[in-house]
Amino acid sequence: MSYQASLSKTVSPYLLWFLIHKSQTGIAVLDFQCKIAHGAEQDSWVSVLLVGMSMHLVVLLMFYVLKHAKKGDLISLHVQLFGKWLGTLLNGVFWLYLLLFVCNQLVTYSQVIQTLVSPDIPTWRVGLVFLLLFVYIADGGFRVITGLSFWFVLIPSLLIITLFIPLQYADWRNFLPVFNHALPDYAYSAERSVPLYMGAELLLLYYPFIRDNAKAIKWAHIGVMHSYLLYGIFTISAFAYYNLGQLKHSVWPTLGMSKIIHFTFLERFDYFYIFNWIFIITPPCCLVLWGSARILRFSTPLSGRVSLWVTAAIVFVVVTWSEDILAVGLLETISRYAGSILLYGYIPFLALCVLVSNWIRKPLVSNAG
Amino acid sequence: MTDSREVHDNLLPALRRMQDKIDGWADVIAHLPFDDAKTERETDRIVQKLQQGYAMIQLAAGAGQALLVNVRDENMGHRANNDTENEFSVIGPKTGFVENLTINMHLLRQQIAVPQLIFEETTIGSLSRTAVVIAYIEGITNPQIVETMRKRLKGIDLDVVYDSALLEQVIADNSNTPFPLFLTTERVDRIAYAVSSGQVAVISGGSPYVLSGPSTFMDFFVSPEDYYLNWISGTFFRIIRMLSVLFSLFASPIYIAVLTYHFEVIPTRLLHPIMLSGLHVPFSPVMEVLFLETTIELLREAGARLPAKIGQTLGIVGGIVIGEASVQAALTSNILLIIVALSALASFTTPIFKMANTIRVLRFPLILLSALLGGLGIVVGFIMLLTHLLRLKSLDTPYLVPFYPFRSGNFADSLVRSSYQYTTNRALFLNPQRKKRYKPDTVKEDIDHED
Repeated sequence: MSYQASLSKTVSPYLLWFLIHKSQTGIAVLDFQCKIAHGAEQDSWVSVLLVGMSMHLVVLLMFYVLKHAKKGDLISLHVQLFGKWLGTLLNGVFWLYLLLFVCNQLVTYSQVIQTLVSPDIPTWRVGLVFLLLFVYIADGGFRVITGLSFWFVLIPSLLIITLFIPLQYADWRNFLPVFNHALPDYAYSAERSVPLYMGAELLLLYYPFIRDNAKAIKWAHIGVMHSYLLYGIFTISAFAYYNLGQLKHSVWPTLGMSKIIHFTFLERFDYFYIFNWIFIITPPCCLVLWGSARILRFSTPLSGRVSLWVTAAIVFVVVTWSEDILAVGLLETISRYAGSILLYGYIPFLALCVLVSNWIRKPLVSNAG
Repeated sequence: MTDSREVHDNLLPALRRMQDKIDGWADVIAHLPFDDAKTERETDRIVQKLQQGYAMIQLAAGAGQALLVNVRDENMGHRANNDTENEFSVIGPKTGFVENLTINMHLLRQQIAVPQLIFEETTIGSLSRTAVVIAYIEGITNPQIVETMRKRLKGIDLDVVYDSALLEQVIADNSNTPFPLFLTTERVDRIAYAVSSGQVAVISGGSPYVLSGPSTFMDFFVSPEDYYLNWISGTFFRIIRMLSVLFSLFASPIYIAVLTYHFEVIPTRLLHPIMLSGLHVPFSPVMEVLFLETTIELLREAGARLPAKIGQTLGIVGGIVIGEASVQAALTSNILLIIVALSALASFTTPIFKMANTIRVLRFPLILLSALLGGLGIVVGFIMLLTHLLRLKSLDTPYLVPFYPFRSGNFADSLVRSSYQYTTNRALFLNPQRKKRYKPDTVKEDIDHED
C-alpha cells in the first residue's frame, strides 16, 4: 500500500533513526531550559519527557496517514484528500511553515554568533554563508542529507562527554522538592518545550525515500526516544548546574555550562559548542530546504533546482530583515505556535480525514472487487 | 627494433643449418626455433610488422608471400629494475609494475596463482592502439562491477593513452572533484590485495601504474605495510596517518582563525609566545600563511622536477635557508613556520601520491574560508568537504563506505586493522560472490584449562 521512490534514491530503514532524531535537534536545545523553567520550575524535566513521549503518538499517526497517501508524502495527500485547489493551498501553507522553521534556526544562530563570537558580523553575511552551504547540500539530494544527518549525530555526541566537567559543580538538591507544581505549570513548560521536538513532521515529506517504509516505524520510535533521552540529559544537567533564579535569567544555558570547561591550551571551550551547533542546525535546515523545494516543484512549473534557489532566496530576505531582537523573538513565537498546531492539531486532523475517507471509500472498493 | 643477438645467435644459424630441400613455408617454419613465425601476403600487414621489429624472409618457392619472424627486442626501452620508486615500504616486497604490459600481467599472476584470474584485453586509443587489460577473479568479483568497468572502458575515445592516469580520469564517475576516484599504484601487492578482495584492476600498456576500483576514501590511507606489521603497530600507524591528514588540512586555517578573530581562545600564557613571535611581522596572519604555504609548494614542485640528487640538496638548502631567513627578516613568525612545515610533512604521510596532492590543494580553499569567516569558515569548509565526499561515487559505489552507508561488517579493517583472526571477510560493499577470505583455525585458549 505505502508508496516508495525508486530503489536507487531510497535509504536504508535504520537511517530513519538518525533522520528523525537529527531533524528534531536544532537551535532550541541552546535555550529551552530557561524558558521551561518559568513554568514547572525544578519539575519541568517531567514536561520535557512527557512531550517527548507524546511524539511516539505523533509518529504513529504520521505513519498511518502516509501509508494511505498515493505518492507517500504530504504533498500528494493534500491533493488526494482535499482536491487540487484546496490541496495546493494547504501545501502552500506548509511551505510557509517550513520557511519559518529554517528562518528561525538561522536568525537565532546568527544571534548566538553575534553575541558570543564576533559582534561585528552582520546577519545577512551569516545567512548568506549558511544558505549557500545548505543549497549545495540540498542539491546533492536526499541521500547526501541523510549522510550528513548520520555524521552529525555521531560528531556532536562526543561533546556530551564534556558535560561531566560542569556537572562536578552540580547541586543535585536543586531538584527538591519533587512534584510540587500544579497541572497548568506543567502545561506551560510542556508548551515551551515543543520547539525541541519540532522537525519530526518533516517525515511527511521524505517518507517515500525510506526503503520498506511501512515497516520502518521501529526506527522512527528509536529516533524519537533518542531525542527525549538526550534532552533529558541536557535538562537535568542544566537544572543541576544552575539554581532556578540563575536559570530564569540566563540566555543560552547549554552554552553557559560549557564556559566553565578550559584546558591549558584552550581557554574558551564554549567555542566548540557554538561551532558544533552548526553541525546540529545544518541537517534539519537542509531537509527543510529540500522539502520546500519539492513542494514548489510539484505545485508550480518550476524545476527542482530553480525552486531550491527560489526558496533559499526568500529565506535570505527574511533573515536579512529580522536583525533586531524583537523580530527574533517574534519568529521564535510564531514558529512555536505553528509547530504546536501542526504536531498536535493538524496531524491528528489529517489522520481523521484519512480515516473518514477510507471509511467512505471502502464499500466502493469491496463492490469493485 | 630488432634484437640483434636473437638474429645472430638463433635465426641465422638455424637458416644456415637447413641442408635438405625446401618445398614450402612449412619446412622453413619447422626448422626455425621461433614460435611467432607466420606468413603474410598483404603489403600493409608486412610493413606494419616490419616496423614492429620483425624479420622478413623471402623464398623463391613461395613467391607472393613472405615469412615474418618475431625477433623484436621486447625489453628495449624498458628499465631493467622494477623496484617501487614512489611507494616505498620497509617491510614487504619491493617489486613494482613496469612499463611493459606482459611483465605486469605476469607479476600479478605470480601473486594470484589460480586460473580464475581473468585478463580481458581491449584496445584503446585511435593513434596509440594501447592494449588495456581488465583483471578480476571469476567467482569472487561481482560481475556487475566488471560489467560497469567494461562499459566505461568501451566508452573511452582518446587518441593516445599515455598512462593509466588518463584512463582513470576519463572513466571517473565525477570529473569535477579533486579526489582520485580510483586507486592507482605501482605496488604489486596492493593490486593483488585489491583484486583478491573483489575489485577490478585495469592494467594499461606502457604504464607502470595500475588502477583498481571501486575504491573508497579509506583505501587511499591504507599502506601495505599495515598488513606486514602486527595489528597493534599497523593500527597505530594508520591512525597517525588519518590524524596527520586532519592536521595538514586544518592546522594553518585554525592558526589564521585564532590569530585574526578568536585570540581569546588561547590562554594568556600560551598567547604570549605566539604574540611575541609575530610581534615584528608586518603582515596579517593570512598573508603570512599564504606566503609560507606557497613557498613550501614551490619547494615541493621544484624538488619533484629536479634530478633526484640535486632535488634533495635543494630541498634542504631551500627549506632551511628560506625558513631561517624569513624569520630573521621578520617576514613570518617562528610558530607559523613550525605549523606550516609540520602540516607539509603530515601531508606526505598519505601513501597514495594522488591523494596527498589532493590534500595539499584542499588546504588553500580552507585557508581562504578561515581568513574570511574565522571559525565559522572552517566549520563551513569542513561540512562542504564532507558533503562533497558524500556525493562522490566510484564505479557506482559510495566513496565513504563503510562509514556511510554504515556497514558494520567492514569495520575489522578500516580505521583499525585488526588481527588476522577477525579480518576473515571480504569487503562486503563490493558484494563479492564469495564472502569468506579464509578460516582461521587457531582457537584462543581459555585461562589455564587442563583436562
